[in-house]
Formats: sequence, structure tokens, C-alpha cells
Amino acid sequence: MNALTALHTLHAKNVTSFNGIEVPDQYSDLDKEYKALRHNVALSDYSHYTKLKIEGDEAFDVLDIAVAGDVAEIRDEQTLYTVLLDEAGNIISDVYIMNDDDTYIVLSEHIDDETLLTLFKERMGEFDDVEFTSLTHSHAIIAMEGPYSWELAKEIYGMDVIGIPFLGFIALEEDVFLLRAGKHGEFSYKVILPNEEAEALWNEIEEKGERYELVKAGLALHKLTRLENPYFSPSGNGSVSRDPRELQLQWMVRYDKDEFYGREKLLEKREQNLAKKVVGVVLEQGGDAHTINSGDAVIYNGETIGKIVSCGYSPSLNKVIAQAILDNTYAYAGIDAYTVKSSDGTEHKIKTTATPFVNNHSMLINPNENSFVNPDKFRNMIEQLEAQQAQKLAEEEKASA
Amino acid sequence: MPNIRKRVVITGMGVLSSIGRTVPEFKQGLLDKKIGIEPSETYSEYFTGAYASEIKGDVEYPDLDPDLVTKIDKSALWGYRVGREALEDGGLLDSDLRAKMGLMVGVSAAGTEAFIPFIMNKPEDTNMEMVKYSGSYASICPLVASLLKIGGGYELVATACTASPNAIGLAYDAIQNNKGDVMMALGSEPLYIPTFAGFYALKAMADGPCTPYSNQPGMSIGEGAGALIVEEFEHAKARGAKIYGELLGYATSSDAYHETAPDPKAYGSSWVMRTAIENAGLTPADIEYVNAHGTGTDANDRSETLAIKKVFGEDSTPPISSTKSYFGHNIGSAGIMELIACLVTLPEKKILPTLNFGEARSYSDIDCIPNDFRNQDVNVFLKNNYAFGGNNSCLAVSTKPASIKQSEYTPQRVVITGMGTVSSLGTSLTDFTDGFKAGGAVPVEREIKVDLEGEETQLLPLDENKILRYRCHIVKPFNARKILRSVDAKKLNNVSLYALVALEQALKSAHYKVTKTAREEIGMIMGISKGPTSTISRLCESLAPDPNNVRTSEFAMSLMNSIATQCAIAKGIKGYNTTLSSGVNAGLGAVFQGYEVIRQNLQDFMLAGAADEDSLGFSPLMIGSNDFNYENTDTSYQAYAKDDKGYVKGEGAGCVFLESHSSALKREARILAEILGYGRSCDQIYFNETPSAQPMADAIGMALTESNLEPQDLDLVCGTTWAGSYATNMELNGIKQALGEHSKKVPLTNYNGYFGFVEASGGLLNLTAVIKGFEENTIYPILNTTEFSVEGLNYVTRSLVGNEIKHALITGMSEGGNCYALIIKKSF
Amino acid sequence: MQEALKNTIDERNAVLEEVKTVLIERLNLYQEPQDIDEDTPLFGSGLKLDSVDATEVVVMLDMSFGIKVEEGTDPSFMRNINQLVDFILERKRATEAGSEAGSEADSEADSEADSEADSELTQATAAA
Repeated sequence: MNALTALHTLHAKNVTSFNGIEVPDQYSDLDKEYKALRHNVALSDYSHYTKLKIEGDEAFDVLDIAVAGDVAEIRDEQTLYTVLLDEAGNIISDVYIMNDDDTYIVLSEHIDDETLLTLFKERMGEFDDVEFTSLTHSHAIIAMEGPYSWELAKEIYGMDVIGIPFLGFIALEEDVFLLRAGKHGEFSYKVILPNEEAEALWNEIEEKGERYELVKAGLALHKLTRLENPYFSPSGNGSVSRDPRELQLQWMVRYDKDEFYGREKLLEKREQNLAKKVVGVVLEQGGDAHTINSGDAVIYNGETIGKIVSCGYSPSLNKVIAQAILDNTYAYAGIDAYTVKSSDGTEHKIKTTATPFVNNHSMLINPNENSFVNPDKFRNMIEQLEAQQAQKLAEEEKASA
Repeated sequence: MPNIRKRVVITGMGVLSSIGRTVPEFKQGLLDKKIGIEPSETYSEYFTGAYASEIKGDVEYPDLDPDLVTKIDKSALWGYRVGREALEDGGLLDSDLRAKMGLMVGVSAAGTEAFIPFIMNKPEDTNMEMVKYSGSYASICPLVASLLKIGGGYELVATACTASPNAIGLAYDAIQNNKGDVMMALGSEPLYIPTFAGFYALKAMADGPCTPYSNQPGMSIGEGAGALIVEEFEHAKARGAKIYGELLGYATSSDAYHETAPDPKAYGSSWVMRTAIENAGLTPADIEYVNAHGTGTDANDRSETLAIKKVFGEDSTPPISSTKSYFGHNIGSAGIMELIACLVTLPEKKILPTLNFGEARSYSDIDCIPNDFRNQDVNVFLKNNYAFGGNNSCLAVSTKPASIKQSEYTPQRVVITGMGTVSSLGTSLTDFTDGFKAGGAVPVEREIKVDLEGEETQLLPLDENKILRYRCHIVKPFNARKILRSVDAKKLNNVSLYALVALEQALKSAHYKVTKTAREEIGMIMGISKGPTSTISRLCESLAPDPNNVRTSEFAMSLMNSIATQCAIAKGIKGYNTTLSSGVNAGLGAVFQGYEVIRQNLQDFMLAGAADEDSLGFSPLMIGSNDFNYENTDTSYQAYAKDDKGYVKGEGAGCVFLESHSSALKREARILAEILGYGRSCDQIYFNETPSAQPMADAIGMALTESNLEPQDLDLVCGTTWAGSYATNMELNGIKQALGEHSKKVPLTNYNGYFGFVEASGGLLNLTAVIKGFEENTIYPILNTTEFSVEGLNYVTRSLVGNEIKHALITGMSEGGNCYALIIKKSF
Repeated sequence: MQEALKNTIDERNAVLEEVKTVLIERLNLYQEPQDIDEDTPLFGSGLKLDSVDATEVVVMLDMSFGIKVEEGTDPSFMRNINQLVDFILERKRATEAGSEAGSEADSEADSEADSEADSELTQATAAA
């Protein structure tokens, strides 16, 4: 057990094992952790991610054939978020691929080291000028996430943090990276670093995060955040389908790429009519986390047209939200003609909707203009705009007087 | 032994701006804080709330035939006007010095005016004379050269908003290498609708006159022109010229970040300042003032202030100001006009203010000299300019000539250690040489339907269905992914794709990898003729009927510098970066400048390339394109033929990797050839009835002088002229004149028949073939020609194998009569 | 399927198809319409548009749907295809309902205004 894990064991409410690595599942209180992620900064340990370094002259070729996205899209300090498919064209897992000056770092949260390596070896065919090094057990991932995480990251890593685009990263040292990527719609910075340095960084972030009202968080929180901002999740949407079309994840696939594993079957399927599709659903009135459940039928005119995939109560919307898989004929956003029949037989009116469900708070923040800790700056763009309008009004009044 | 750099001073100025139409008027306008940005006269019709700094009403063109004024576009007319003022101011208007004076021009939207009626769907308004005179991108150069009788050769810098300061830099470099004692640098940018629509639709424009660093962000666009006489100091002193200031040094760079947005980390924009300071032998502490790019947009002002803080330190930034608050952003001519603004006010011990300054923006926590002149004596200052595509430039200037110690450099021998080509012969060097052995590529047949009426079309060999069939050399489809890997090739237009493939090969053959830790040790120069024609067409099609619907996504990619930008981004090349859109053989100009940068030890490595894409049937229909070959057989392209049949067009790209001899030895790189010298000269082509041999002879003479060679030392001459009696005679007679008796003996070849006439890159493709011939001691023959137009030359009509080739001369011309001569030496 | 629902779906489908088609044409996207899912993000990931493309989307709304996007409109309507379609349908209804309802929709959009610069949209939408 490394020092950081020991720290978690001491302080976290609940530690769990993912991919054979111990990480906090819940630190204190889920509501508190949620609030920090959505409004301030949450500090989490994502060390359970599988981290595989791929080097060599044919590293590009191996990745290019192994994943469905286009690895050619990413240059140095850019990251591709895409999927690994099986031969039938179904999603095995999502992966991040970081291009560090033509050495690649693959991150995956859903499959372990050994499985990932096996998948690559199965797919690489005749390419052999390639070397795999696992960083999974040698490196930790510490994440600062939330609307003001950029500001905290800036305190630690300097001005250049602001210039990192979404899915961009900075190589801080050899095999040490600051990656901007997350799956919840808020600003998110992940530091990939050797285990030995992880505890010190964790403590530094915790200390410097105090004035941002930072809260330490576990992974349990993300069951909800991933529902609010849907991403691929093996236990969520992935439990009903692995088909990119049914999951509305075709954007993670490049059909026009000449060759990749699973392409043939995927193209065959693309020619067929789509039977069903996952859409977002909001309960029109009331309810709580238990009002409806996954598996509940979606009804139109007395007929079942689909079922609930995953659901929960969104504190941001104050509504029950869900992903449902519906017959394709019905699978459109903006429809209020359907109901969900819960286990007690009650029918609840729902409305299908675009996802993500929430307008993330991070969208209201411009790191160049706003600040959480600087009293001379506004905390978000709405406050800033209101103040500007008020000032304009005051000036006009003054002028007319 | 280190060389002391020559002092380069400014001895003449000319300007045309909304706030003053001559230098004295302009100076008064500045001192009066006159703002020339007003509701737009021309563009309010199309765009609500359009503001601009415009040249309103008629402009006077002294000594110019009024009839000619109707035939030439404003870009050239204004260039003539300010160029003439600068000559007059410098006491050179009737001087013989003009014959050897070089001309370095910077523009962005050139060659546009003649085609505005087409763009706006009013082809009936087309001025055919203007299409003829001003229809090509580089036409401003030969026009200004012809009208002002300037004969020292030209280059056209096309790096959008950094074009004119970059042109000043080229003039500085030419003087450092004895290519002239007096040069003219020019920027000319009339405002045309594609530019206005582009910036407007990008929502980059301010609601009124722009307010750099304060209030609401936004830029104001403007138009105008400026010219400088740039002269070697001792020369200027000797002739008693008045001296306005001294150019201490300069630098350019690429962000290698994004097509339009500046790098928010301000890496390239700070590096360029630091490098200009270093090249001038200064330190940041020597800088007393920065005349900023200061467009007023949030993206620029934010990253520029960050760059300034990075260079000078957060708490020790010198005062800065943006002259754009007076007369807007004049795009291609911005930098030169802003420099003139500095040179007329700083000697009065007054620093220009940033006008319209209201409430400072959050990042503007440095001294922006708000609203009022600062009374301060400034000697050394910087002139910043940044452009779309991430081109950065910075000039270091002194107001007190000879007050600052000259900088030094150790001259380097320059060698070629890598090459790449794309052509109808294929996409690798192996394809290229195999193609030569096989006797060239076979041009494919193309057909287009000709719907035009009129006299000119009667001369075309159309069939009964008005179909025109012709031959051209095209690049066969290839798998770019296999070659380029980490590049999303599908997003590139063909011209950028070809450029990048040639560049990738050049890097590979040089065994050089651009590494993350040294992205700024390598730079790039791209030579362009017609450029991204397909993208330009798509952009132009979107302008009519409502230019508000302009395709903004095509805007940046339609600029000439976009090709170098794509290459820089793809490979992460952050050093010296420029684009020379001088037309045919621009690739040779790129090699000259790449050579100059290495020779002066300003960069460790340079790539010099050029690229062309098939302009889809445009060429055969170019009215006045008498040189086009309509014969439609495999062997109809006959270079230098007595019975001239015209050229067969090709497409492709070429690229060479340059470094110093010592660097090549250190890296244990294979030296393919050494560059010994170059020469450049130009004809006043527009008004000459008969071709003159003199310009090409002059260019060759200059190259021989620099190479320290005599004509008889040359073992091979490779010409590159396409066809047509004017160009053919100019090149061949020039060679004859320069080489004298030896011209009868030295083998003369021309390789265009193997891959077609590829406008910008043809010279580079010929150069590559010459170097490949070094390896095999082979000179390939001129294809298809049996009878030659100029007698007394030793044309190569069958392969010559086994000749020891030591020194080779490559010559080339542009459609505007610019002559290039390059001498290379085989490395043993 | 009842007439009302069928009409709603048909109307939405027509707009969806047109949005996808014109985006592909205008932005030179490599996809075919069926390859673009309705919840596909436009910026950051998904179609990977940038701030320059954002201005193209605004032009597209004007050219293809006659919708003028006022300065200061909350740019979140551009977050994904579905939200873009919602925005178009909302505006269409507002226009059909007459000027009164139209101005109501406008003022609603204004009150939500939170970003003036398109570049911020990319920044913000890509926050994840």
C-alpha cells in the first residue's frame, strides 16, 4: 500500500478496489461531494485508471488499427477520446489516448492492465516495432475537478494551465502529465504522476484548495454526474447496449478510416435500420431517486415502447432524470407523450430531452475573467454581465440628470 | 571569424492612410490625434454597423498615364504612389541606383480586385485589362518594378498581417548578403470584400473605432500603404541621404498552434520578441518602447500583453501603445505604416498614445500610454505584428542611427541534407528518380466544357459540343495516412497536403525529427503561386449575393500563408516562418531566404518548400494564357522548342532541408549539396516589347560572384522556364550572355517535361533532379524537343552518364519577369 | 402512432435532417447525416467544431432557417444537435405565434445571456 492509499484508508468513509487498485469510493458525504464538484472544486483519486505507455515506430499504426477513432487527429499534447470495439463492432470500453511527442499514453477506467494489453496484442497483427510499458501500478492520477479547478491548478502549475484546451495536456516531466479531461461537464484537471509523489501533491492540493472550499470526493459520486452528463458506462448505458448507434456514440467512431478493428461489422450494421436508441428522459412532476427504476417500461398509448436504462435524482435540476432505450420510431427529444410505469404500477408522465441534462456551471465561467478567490473579479459571467448592465444604466441616468 | 552586421538604415518613406496621404500629412494627423476610423463608405451597404479606416475619393498618381490607371488594381497603384514618394523623399526618383534596387513587398489580399465582379456575380462588369495586368497574386511586384524602373528583383511576402514588416526583414537580409545597397520595402492593402466579410462574420470587429486594451474588445479594419527605402548605412552616408532610423534586427516565428487563434500561452509571440532583441545584439532592458500589434480583439490583446510580460518581466514592461486606434488594422500594410508612424513621432520625443482608451481590460495592467502623447526620448523600440495562422514578426529599431553597437554573426556554409517531392511522378524520392529513368510521367487527358463567348474562345480547339480537351500532370491519389501519420489529412486542401508530404520526406531524408524540446530551432519558408485555389473558390462562392454569409471556416485556409501554417502546426515547427507568394518559381525564392537564415546563423535548421494544386481547368481558360499547350498528345510539351507549343501544367510540391555545414558534420548527416550563392534580378516586363537578356544575366552574375566562381567552373545549367517565346528567350539569352563562350559547352537541360510545369515548385523539382543527378553522375535530357529556339547552347537531348558534375546552376523566372539564379556544389 | 405525435416527430425529423445536411456541407464534415447522432456535441468533442465554426452555425441558422441570433444570446443552444434543433423549433413556434410571443422568446434568451464571445462557448462547452 502506498502512502496515498494509506491516507485514504485513514480518512475516507469508504475505500474500494477498481482494476485491482484501492481508491476512495466516498470520502465524506455524497451531497457535499456533489456540491463541490458542481460549484467549487472536488479532489479525487483516479489512480484506478489503467495507464499504458506505447512507444516505437509503429505505435501509431498499432493504435490506429486498435481503436475506432482517428489517432491521426491528435498531435503532441492532444488527447483523443474514443472507443475500443470488438470484432462485432460493439464497444468494449472508452479510452483516452494522449500523444506525447509520438509516444502514446492510453488511459482506460473500465478495463485492467492485462486486458488492455491483450486487446492491443490481438489487434496489432504484423506490427512489431512497438513497446508497451504499464504505468498503472507505478503511477497515480489525482484530479482537481469543478468550476474553479482551473484556478487551483493555476496556483500550482502556473499561467499555462489556462491555455490548456479541453482534452489537451502538458507534459510536466517524463511520464508526468497535467491532463484536462473529465466526464461530467465541469472543468477537470488530472495529474498523472509517480506513486511516490502522489501523497505530497494530494496534501498540497488539499491545503491550497481550502480557500476554494475544496471537498475530497470518491468515485461513487459519478454514478449521478455521469447520468446528468451521459458518457459511456459499462454498468449504465453499456448494460443495455454496446452498439455505438444505439448509444448515440457514433462521434467516437471514424467510419471513413480505412481500417480498424470491428469496422467491417460496424459498417454492415450501419446499412441496416436502427431498431432502438438511448434518449434522455425527465420526469415531468415530482418524484425522488426511487420513483422509477432501471428496467421500468416506457409506455405510449398503452404499449411498451422501451425501458429505463438508468435513472436518478438530479440535484441540479431538482428533477428525476433517466436514460431510456426506445424503439427508434419514438426515440426523439422534445416529446411529452410517453409515460414510465414504475414497479408499483403507477404511470409517470415524462418528457424526452436532449442530453446532457444539465447546463454545467463551468460554462458560465471564463478563466480569463472570473475568479473564486480574487475579490476584484466576478465569480462568473452572469454576475459580470449584470454588473456591467447596472453600471451602464447608472451612467445613463447620470448623463440624463 | 564573426562578421559584424552591416548597419541598415531607413532613408526614404512614403505613406497613404485615412489620416494623411503623404508622410507630412500623416505625421500631422498623428500629432493631431486624428482618428480615421469612420462608418464605412464602401461596406455599410452590406454590413450593418460597418466601420473602417478608408482611403476615400480619388488618389493622385503623379507621372502616371491616366489610361493606365484604369487598367491596374489599387494595390499596385497605391504601391506605386507610396513607392514613388519614398524614392522622391530619399532623393532617388531619377537615380540609376534603381536598376539594382531590390523590391520586397508585403500584402495579404492581393490580386483580388480584378475578380471582384466574378465574386459578386456581376461578370459583365469585368475589366479585362485589369485581369490581364493585375490578375495574378504577385502582380503588384512587376507592376511597381516596371512603373518605378526598379530592377533588382522582388519577393512578395504573403503572411497576412505580418507581411510588410517581414518584407522589411527580407530587405535587411539582402543587404547583409551584399545583394544590394538600396532596397525598397513596401506594403499595400486596399480593402476588398472577402477580407471585410471574413473579419465581420468572425465577429472580430468593434462597434465603432477600436479601443485596444480597454472597453469592449474588437478590431477596426483599415486600408492604406507604406513604403520605405532601406539602405546600407555607409552607402547612405556617402550619398548624403537623410536618415530616419536604423533597423537593428528582426525575427519571425510561427505559433504552430491554430489557423486563426493566437496561442493563449503566447509562446511564439514572446519568442519572436526575444529573438529579434537577440538578433539585434540587445537585451530586453535596452527596449524603451513597444509599438504593439494591438488590434483591439480580446484574443490578440490578451496574448500580446502576456507575451510582453513574459519577455520583460511582469513588473518591468516598457510603455506600449497601439497605433491601430488611429487608422485601424491595415492587414498586409499594417506593420510598415505603424513603423512609419513611430519614425515620424519618436524623433520629436513623443511616444504615440493608444487612443479611445477607456476602462482598462482586466489583463491590461501595463502602461498602454492612454490617450495622450508621452513626452519621452526613445532610442530603441520594438514593432510587433502578429497574423492569422500564427505568423509572428518583430522588428528592433533605433531612432538614432549608429548609436547602438552592431550585432555579429559567424557566417555559415549552407548545405542541403534532405529533400522531398510530390508530383505526377509520385510521392516519394524513389518514385521521383524512377520516373526520370522511365522518361517522365504521362500527362492525363482532361476535358472541360467552355461556355464562354467572345473572341478569345474562338481560338480554342473546341469540339462541336464546346468541349476542350487538354493534357495535364496530376498527382495520383495516394494514402496520405501512411506517410503523414499524426495529421488529419482529410481536413487539408490539396496544396497543403502536397506541401506537407514533401516536407515530411525532406525531414525523413535528413534524418531529423522535430523534437518537443527544440521546436524553435527549425524554421520554414513556403513558396506559393496560386495557392489554395479550391478553398479560395469556395470562399468566394459564399460571398454573393449576401456577403454576410461568407464561409468563415474557409477564410483562414484561403490565405496564402495557410499552407505554411498547416505544415507548422502538423510538425510543431516554431522557428522562422514566412510565405513568399512571388508566383512562378517562388520555391527558388524560398530556398534563397532559407539559405540566408542559415548563412546568418539565425536558425539551426530550415525547410524551404513550395506547393501547387491543380486549379481545375482554370489555366487553359486564362485569357491571355497564350503559352498553354492544347495539343493533347503525350509528347507535346517541348521546353525551349523552336516551334513553341506551350506548356503542360502540373501540380505537386518540393521541399529541401537546409542546415549549416558544421551542423551536418556534427549530426553525421549526409550532405546532398552545398549552396554557394544566389542572385535575383527583374525585368520591367509590363512595358517591354521585347525580352531582355539583362535581368537573367545579372542574376547569374550575382550568383557567380557570391559563389566565387567563373562561368567555366559550371558543369551543368538547369533552366526551368515553362514555355512561350518571351520567357524562353529571356532565360536562354540571359544564360548565353552571362556565361559567354562557356555557354556553348556547358550542358543545358530543363526537366519540366518529366512532371509538367508546376508553377511555384517547378524550380525545386528541377533542383531535386539536379541533386539526384549528382549521385548518379547523370544529366537527364530535355524531353521531346528536337529543334531549339535559341542557337549556340549545348542542349542535352540524350542522357549524359559519367560526367563528373561539380557545380550546377539552376535558373528560373516568374511570370512577372523576376529572375532567379542558384549555384550548388556537389558534396564529395 | 397518433396524428399529433406523428406530426411532432415528423417536424423534428425534418429539422434534424436539414441541420445535419447543412452542417456537413458548410463545414466540410466527413460524416453522412445518419452518422451524426442527435445528442452529438458540436464543440470540444463530438463534431469538434471551433469558435470559427460557431460563426458558421450562426450564418447557417440565418440562411437555412431565417433565424437571426442576437448578440448576447446564451450560446448553450449550440451545445449539441438536439439543443440546436430545440432552439430552431422554439424560434419557429415563437414566429408562428406572432410578434407578441416572439418578443417573449427573445427576452427569455436575453435574460439567459451569459457569454458574449463565441470563443468562450468553446471554452465553456469544452469544460468537461
